[in-house]
Amino acid sequence: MLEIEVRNKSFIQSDSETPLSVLTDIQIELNEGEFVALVGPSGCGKSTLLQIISGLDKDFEGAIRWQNGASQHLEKLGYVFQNPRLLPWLNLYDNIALVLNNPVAKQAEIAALLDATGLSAFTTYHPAQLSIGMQRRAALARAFVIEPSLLIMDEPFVSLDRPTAVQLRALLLEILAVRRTTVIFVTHDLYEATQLADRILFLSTSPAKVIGETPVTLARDQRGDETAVNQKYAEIRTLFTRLYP
Amino acid sequence: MNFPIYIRQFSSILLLLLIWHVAAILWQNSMLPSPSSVVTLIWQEMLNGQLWFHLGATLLRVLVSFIVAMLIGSVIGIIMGRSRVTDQFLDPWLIIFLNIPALVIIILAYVWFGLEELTAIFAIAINKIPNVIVTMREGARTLDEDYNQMAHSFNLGRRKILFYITLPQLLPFFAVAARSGIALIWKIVLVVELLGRSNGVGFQLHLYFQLFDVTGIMAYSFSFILIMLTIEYALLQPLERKVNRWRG
Repeated sequence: MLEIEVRNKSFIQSDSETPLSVLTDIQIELNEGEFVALVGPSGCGKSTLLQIISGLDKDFEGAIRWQNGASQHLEKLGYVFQNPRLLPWLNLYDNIALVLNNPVAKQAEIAALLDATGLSAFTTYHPAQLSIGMQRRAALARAFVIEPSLLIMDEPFVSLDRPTAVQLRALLLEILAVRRTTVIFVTHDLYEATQLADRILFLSTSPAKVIGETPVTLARDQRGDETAVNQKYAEIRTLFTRLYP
Repeated sequence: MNFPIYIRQFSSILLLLLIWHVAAILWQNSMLPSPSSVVTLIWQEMLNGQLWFHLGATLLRVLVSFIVAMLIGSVIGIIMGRSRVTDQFLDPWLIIFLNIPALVIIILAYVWFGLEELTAIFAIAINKIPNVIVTMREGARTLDEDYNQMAHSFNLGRRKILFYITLPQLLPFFAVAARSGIALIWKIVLVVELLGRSNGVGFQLHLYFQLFDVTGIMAYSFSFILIMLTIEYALLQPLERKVNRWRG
């Protein structure tokens, strides 16, 4: 469905003549409905890769090829950032309605997602009045409401306390069970990747390239089961320690 | 809930009036009229229409030059905040204009462009524009790149980005510029009128000054101050609160 090819991406450094290369030889193929996790050390250029995929950063060598033609993706892209990036001057409902071209026609869809994320009672609240966990749920709802053909998630559950992170991962799996979506998910938490992804790609330190890949053979209903996930996690963990000595 | 604060502020004003009243009785000099004689003159001038005429002329000048200054200042300030080259080029001009005394601008404007209404408005606006530029430039510089990325990744379009992302971030700066703008303009407008207009509060002050009529000076100053305070408390402050409501 989507082919990502980044031969090289570098930044010009202000204090040096040679550009700093952050991504090299990256080739990723995403299948329809697949959940792919990118795991790698922090600062390896994962966020840069996501910005390239989303079209925010066009200055790179390579190509992003969509099955249905190159420009179509922009209309149907959901993005969940590290910080929720809700607009503080809009209330919760307007934050979600903002990303729709015709929010009036999609009222039922908005309501359904607010319900799924447990935010129905807070639609008139401004983001500053919500807990960080609720803000991230709202960011999830905002990303799903446009029915994205690709959902990009950039460490969306980072720096949350454990119970909240567990709860949000369960919520994401629940939503995905109803709305099958192609997801590219960046994390540095291998357990999180194991629980959520169909396939994990491992990235090296900067300049990043893909140094390993493993499918996660867990059925949908096993992903809520801690023992099953833990078992899988232990398997992948051995591969992980081999890749990052 | 703010009741005690209101009472405190009100009694403080009453105290001031009382001190003034006592001082006027003790001194017994036409250079310090009592509060009651000032109020009487204000009442008379209200009845014969003079007060409304001059207050109206001054307020109109305040309003027009305020709008002109906010518009021009905002546009230049936002451009300077977003474009580094423009900022570097225009910054020396800005510093010069920030430091020219208001009086110099007014005198030069009258000398070069004549004692016209348009010159008066222009002279007032020029005095205010640099301050608006500085505030709005700061606002435009601090626009959050994160929101911009969010908008572009969701493909929001220019109109939505302007109205829901950019302007809400600039609004608090605009409110600050507006409030400090009114405060500055209503002081400058009197000087402009004193120097070259034949109506307005400044003109009346000039007249009473030549007659050494302190009661008249006070009557016109206080009426005008009262109106500006009303605008500040009844219009600008509630507006600013509304603009900042979402800040938890």
